Amino acid sequence: MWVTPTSSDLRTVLHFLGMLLMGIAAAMLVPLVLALVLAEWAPALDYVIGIGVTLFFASTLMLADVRADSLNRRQALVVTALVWIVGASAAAVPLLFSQNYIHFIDALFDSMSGLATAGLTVVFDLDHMAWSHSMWRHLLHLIGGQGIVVAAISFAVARGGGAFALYQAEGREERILPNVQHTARFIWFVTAVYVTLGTVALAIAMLLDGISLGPALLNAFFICVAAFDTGGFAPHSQSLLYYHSWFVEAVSMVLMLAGTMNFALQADVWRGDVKEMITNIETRTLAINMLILTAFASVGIALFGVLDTGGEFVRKVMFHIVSAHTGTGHQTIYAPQWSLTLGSAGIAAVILAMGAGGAVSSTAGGIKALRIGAIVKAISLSIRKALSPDSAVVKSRYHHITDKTLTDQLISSSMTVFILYMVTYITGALVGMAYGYSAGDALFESTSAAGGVGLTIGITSPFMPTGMKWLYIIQMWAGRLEFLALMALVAVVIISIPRVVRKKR
Amino acid sequence: MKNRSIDKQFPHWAKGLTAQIALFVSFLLVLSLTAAVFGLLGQR
Repeated sequence: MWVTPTSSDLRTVLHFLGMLLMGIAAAMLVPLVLALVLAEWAPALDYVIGIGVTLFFASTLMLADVRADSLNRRQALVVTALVWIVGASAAAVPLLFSQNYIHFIDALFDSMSGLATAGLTVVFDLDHMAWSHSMWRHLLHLIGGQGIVVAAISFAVARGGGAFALYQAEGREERILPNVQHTARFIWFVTAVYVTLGTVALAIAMLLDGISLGPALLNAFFICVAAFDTGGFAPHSQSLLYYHSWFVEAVSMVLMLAGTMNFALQADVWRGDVKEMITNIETRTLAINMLILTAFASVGIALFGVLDTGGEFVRKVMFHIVSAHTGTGHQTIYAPQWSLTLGSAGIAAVILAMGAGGAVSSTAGGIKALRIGAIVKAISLSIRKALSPDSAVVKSRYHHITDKTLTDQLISSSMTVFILYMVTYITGALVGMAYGYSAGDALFESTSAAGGVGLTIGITSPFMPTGMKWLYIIQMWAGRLEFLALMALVAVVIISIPRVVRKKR
Repeated sequence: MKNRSIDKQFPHWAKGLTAQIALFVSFLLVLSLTAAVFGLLGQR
């Protein structure tokens, strides 16, 4: 039964939306402080305006219902769907004033891409962007990768009865610790450890390459955050190609793999159960998929014949398969050279890797390894059932934190999400083709946007058609929330229309 | 959650983290070997 939302529902939703926006305003203090420290006065003013505008809207929304202290699941889904677009709009305000974006939609594109940890960008003259604006773009990866809601819960912006409903609505299924606030803080703890270690390792590599201390630390932090949060933004237009360093690429790959792991799995391993890394269905699916796609891409690219086999060949192939499969989007090939370097088979392997994605309850996007593993198990189960006597009870088991039996519910939900992602990838590709792009390029970019990856074959640029910018914004938004929250929002709007029309009569 | 309670709930986190990084590095070595071998096969 469809439940028509009441005005009380609307007030509660607006109140919580305002609370979450407060968190976005608070996060803008970080680039503001950096701008002041580095004497970037014009960007500092951009953040003062950004904070002012966001605080104004946040406090106005919070006034909608001053007594709201908890959310039901339906309200949480709507709040989550809305906060990603409203939050991205607020985050776009300082970017718009940076003069690195031609229109507001370009700034919105980048803020959504940052929050959704996609990494596609329509920034203009990235190489001369102020440090504080670079910090804000990468901070968006950090906030979005962990989850706007997780960030809000862990800093107690949102708590009470609605916290777990919000947490689930953001596409996270597993509660790692009994208390959802502790779960959120554990996610930040893991992030802090990896980001610290990664930043130190990358900074040393950059110092050895001759970059001075300040820029080395900032570059290292940006690359590290983008890799661990499987984001893909970089402070330079050439992405990781800028550094020409195998060590930077190797550290980034370790960070990408760490970021694409399920946080529940991280918790289990950090409790001392290292075996979980090898027995878990998600890590197995990810490892097998990456090996198959690397083998396929290697044969295809070698046959294409542009890249000589050897160290450079291995570096390029494995880096892009890892970057695509983990949903990161760092690249070491100049976008327009993809087709000239990798050939059709290489590009197909990267598209398949991007579509598959990382683990559930991680910072990665895409269909996710647990679902692919469950679907493969379900196919194998069907074959075993067909070959068994009618009286036989055939079951399939898998290991994910604990030993589990494959249920119809998991198969059905995995198939639903799989189909929704496929429809989104293909629809985006069809729209791209309608705009005149080749089928391969359109499918590549569409999969990259909806899978939250960020690799680009050259379509995404400040000069692409506005319709394509909207398309990718919606794909990044829908893909990050795994459709449920977005569909709940659409359903609520549709079922509210007759009520509004009746009132007007 | 204060640091003390993180240590309490995850007393072996440093060991887990080290093992995790070692596994990632080993996996990357296997991946590079796969790329090298299949690259050579493709070239032939």
